[in-house]
Amino acid sequence: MENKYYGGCDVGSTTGKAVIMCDSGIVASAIVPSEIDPEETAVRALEEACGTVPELGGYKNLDYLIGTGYGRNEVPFADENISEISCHAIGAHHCNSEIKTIVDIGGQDVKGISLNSDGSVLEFAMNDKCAAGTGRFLEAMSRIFRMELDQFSDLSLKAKKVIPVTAQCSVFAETEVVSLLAKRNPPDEIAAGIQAAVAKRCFTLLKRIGVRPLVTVTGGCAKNRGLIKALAKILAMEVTALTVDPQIIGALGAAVFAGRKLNAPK
Amino acid sequence: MINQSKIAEIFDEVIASPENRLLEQDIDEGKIPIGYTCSYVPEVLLSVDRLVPVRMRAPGIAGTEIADNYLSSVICSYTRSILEFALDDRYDFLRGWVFAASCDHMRRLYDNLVYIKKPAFAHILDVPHKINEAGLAWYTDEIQDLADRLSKQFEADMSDAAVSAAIRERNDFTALLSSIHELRKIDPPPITGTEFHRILTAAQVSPMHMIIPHIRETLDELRQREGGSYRARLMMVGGELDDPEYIKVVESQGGVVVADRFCTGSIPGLEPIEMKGDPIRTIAEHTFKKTICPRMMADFESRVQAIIDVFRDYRVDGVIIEFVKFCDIWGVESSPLVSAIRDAGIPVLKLEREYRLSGEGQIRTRVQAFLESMGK
Amino acid sequence: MKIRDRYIFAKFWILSYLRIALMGLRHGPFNMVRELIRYPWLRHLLKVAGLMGRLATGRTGAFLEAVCMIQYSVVCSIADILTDIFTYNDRLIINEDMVPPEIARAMGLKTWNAEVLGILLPMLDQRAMEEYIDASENEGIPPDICSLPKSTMGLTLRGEMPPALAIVTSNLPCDGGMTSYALMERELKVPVYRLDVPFNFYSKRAEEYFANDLREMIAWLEKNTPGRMDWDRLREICEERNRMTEYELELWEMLRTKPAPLAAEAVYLGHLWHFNMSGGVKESTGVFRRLVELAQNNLERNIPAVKNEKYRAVLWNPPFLHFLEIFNWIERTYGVTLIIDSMTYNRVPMIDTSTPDTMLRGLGTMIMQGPMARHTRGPAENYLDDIFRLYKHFDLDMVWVAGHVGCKNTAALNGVLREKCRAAGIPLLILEYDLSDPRIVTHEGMISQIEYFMDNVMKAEKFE
Repeated sequence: MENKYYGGCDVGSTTGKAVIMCDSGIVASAIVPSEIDPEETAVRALEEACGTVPELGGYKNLDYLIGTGYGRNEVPFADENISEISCHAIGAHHCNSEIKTIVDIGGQDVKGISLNSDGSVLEFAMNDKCAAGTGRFLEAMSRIFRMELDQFSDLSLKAKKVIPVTAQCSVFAETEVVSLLAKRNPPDEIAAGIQAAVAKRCFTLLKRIGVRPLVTVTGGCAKNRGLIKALAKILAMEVTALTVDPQIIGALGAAVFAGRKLNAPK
Repeated sequence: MINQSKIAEIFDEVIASPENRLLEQDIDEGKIPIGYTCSYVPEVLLSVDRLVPVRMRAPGIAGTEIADNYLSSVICSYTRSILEFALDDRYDFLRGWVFAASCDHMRRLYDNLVYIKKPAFAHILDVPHKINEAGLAWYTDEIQDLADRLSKQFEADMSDAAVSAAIRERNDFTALLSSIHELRKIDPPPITGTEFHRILTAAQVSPMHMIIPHIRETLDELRQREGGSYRARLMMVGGELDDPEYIKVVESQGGVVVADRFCTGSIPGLEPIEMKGDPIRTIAEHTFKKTICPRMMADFESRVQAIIDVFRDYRVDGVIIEFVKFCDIWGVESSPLVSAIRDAGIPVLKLEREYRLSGEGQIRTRVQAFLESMGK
Repeated sequence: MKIRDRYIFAKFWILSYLRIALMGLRHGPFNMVRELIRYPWLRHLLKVAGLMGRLATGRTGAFLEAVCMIQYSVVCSIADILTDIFTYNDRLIINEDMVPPEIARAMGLKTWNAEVLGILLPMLDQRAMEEYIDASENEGIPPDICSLPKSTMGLTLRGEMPPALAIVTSNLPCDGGMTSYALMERELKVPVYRLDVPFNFYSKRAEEYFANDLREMIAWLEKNTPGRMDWDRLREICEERNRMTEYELELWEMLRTKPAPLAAEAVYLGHLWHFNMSGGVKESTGVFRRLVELAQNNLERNIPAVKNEKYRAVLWNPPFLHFLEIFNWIERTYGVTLIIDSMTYNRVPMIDTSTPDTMLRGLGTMIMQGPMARHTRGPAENYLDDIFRLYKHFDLDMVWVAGHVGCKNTAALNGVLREKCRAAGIPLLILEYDLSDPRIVTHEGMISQIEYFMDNVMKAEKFE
């Protein structure tokens, strides 16, 4: 093999992500739904990504592999693991070195990360165990509307008004939304209210670490345009879109770290 | 990592459940176990004559459903867990309970426990919120009152001579624990925070004379041992933390906890008691000195300074402030505390947690990212 | 509405705005604009008409007059306080709400009650505190802390506290409130004196300990501010306060009559404001004198405050600040009449003014055993026994607990209270809500808890 290949694998609670890189940049990536066993998730994501790089002949031949995400400790074949906080930071920095603030909205938690100019973590904050404001919360909300997440996002973008919804607690929010719907409030306005509520939680988290431009959103929920719009509004700041799929930023960061390890002077 | 030679299994055994083998043996020999819940309760007074102090814990608690019914689910889970254990009769072997009116949660634990369990002996110490001459005089009276009640209820000898003897014994004991604690200043430390807290926790729930030989043996072993590599030297600051497994999760990311400035920890918990005339007043003074809690209203600056001092003395790389969720005083204090510590140029991480070890994944992520952000 | 009721309402409405306008004129319009920029919360004060309207709905005669008069008296009192903070920066101190201002006033100081906005503004605009609560949480204060100290810290963090020379605070009423002053001290950078009320305060030893603490506080204030103690002035203030208390005791005696001649705000709002903010002020005594007259009028003519008084209730814990009209609604919907509440009921209200020492002891006892302070400190009996005492004394039918989710101190006694009420056959409603944040439990959510209780437990019928 001429090229040195290295990879990052982000084992999340909802999806597993893998990114394969060589010195010229990203060569492959994959997103798969999470299995019960995090190791299995990692294998599936890596196999799918490596499948598109015949020269490599399987993930076992990677020169360096770094695991990250909630299941990172359960990836025994990785050379090392690094927390998803550092990975999201370096991943976003790799895409755009002007990024100073990240909101990572994952399946089970939300993180606010502030970056040094070299892409390392300056400060971070995480939500508590509560699910409100996370990907799961948004999924549960779209279920009430009997919609997929992207349909839900489109619905919220149609709203001309916003009906305030509390997102203090996902259980309460669910009851609240059900009763708002029962009272025949326009669904698009309720959906916009939900987006605004989640945006507000992200905003609160960001306030703890300080918001400096450029701001970006990573994680699966970054694809939710309604949320991005609400977040930009509450931040009174533009939310910069990344050139790479925001859902794979953690895995990308892990791969970037892997590359650094590999190229570090011995 | 530090080379894991085996720290005596006995420590793990005695901290696994409230009524342990050593305590049982002591009780069979006629000793009187008295439970207490807070560092403002002077354990030395509970070790006078035939009394044995037992720090209340709820190891392995699964849930607090029945306690929540009384205490509600919005108060500190340490107090809820203790009530749950008491309701499960896991503390029926105690002959008495001594509480301190140190915070709202502890006071309500006392109220509910007395209401539901009606123990034969329950006492709550009225701890002032100010450390000055008036506060000290007040607290001395409080301790005298407790001594009188203990003496009446259990026919314990609370004479000056007996109390002084207990002070001497306690000092010998803490000196022994201190010599283990001192090893943590060595770089690399020959003992992990997890191991140290197994010993320290065991020391708080076992009869002194029975646990001493095991501690001595461990000390000898540790003196032979060399520390291994580690990522960073950490200090933990907070309130009640009596589960070494929690420290294990923190250390799982490669850091080693070398200093602990929390209620059940060694700084300044292992300071010797300085005898100055009246032994009861001596105890009052000592209790104020060996406990650093944000409930003391006017001492914010000295609490910040205490952290900075330990940070220097123990060559700490980063400070973790941990407290049990719903704790009002730590919850509020942690905000100005974090900024004060940060202003002093010290890396700091705040961890809100449940009393029962849970959400380990989140703790690991935070600690790992904290180490990474320190460049470790 | 009857013509006389309309007249009464209009009178107090106009008087209130005149009082606000007068304050503005005296201070100068240009200065007022400056103050509005300095203190953005001032804008909420203009919403007092809304509150008046909400509280007046459905009420008539002497009861309506009492409710309107109290609101007007609060407006006047606020105007005076605002004038103080605009004018007397050289002698302004911040006092925590559990430290009554009598002593500082006797020393020639002006006081700003740090918690007052957190109590007052939600009454005027239910959402007023949200921005301040969020400011606190953004600073890392956990969401589970009581929203009153969170509001106060938020105001501080946003730089909207008046500039003060010093702060006097205490360990009351709860740990969250007590500890919030660590943040306040750091932010405001002024010296702080902290009073310490013992856990067991029903003893000579505690009285002595606390009176000494007050003495030290006076000496400390003399050192740190231009204030100087004038014992004659303190005596006048205490005597005036005693007179107000005498009227209040008279009022309580009349409230024992079934049906009650006055209720709800006429009882609790007057106490909440005047006993905590302006004890010893002549105008405040005047309010209580008038309340007694109004109650007397109703009694003599056999007119109940609430037309269909069916159930007499006590409210435990602070009233529902952002939803005060809830009492109005329950009167009209179910005939539930709020007779008395924990924030009003004081067991040792009189101050012996014979010597400086007796005054300090009297004031000390008043602070230690005052409403709320007595219930949140000390053993559970302090909290529970009063409930059953009042239940009997006022011949009540039900106990309502304002179950503020941030109040852990009282939440931790709900279990015992439930069992005790069950044993005594007393219907108990624990209404969950947040003191100053309607986002936690909405007004609809609060109403539905009441309906559930009234329909299922009381089997009550709604009036049409």
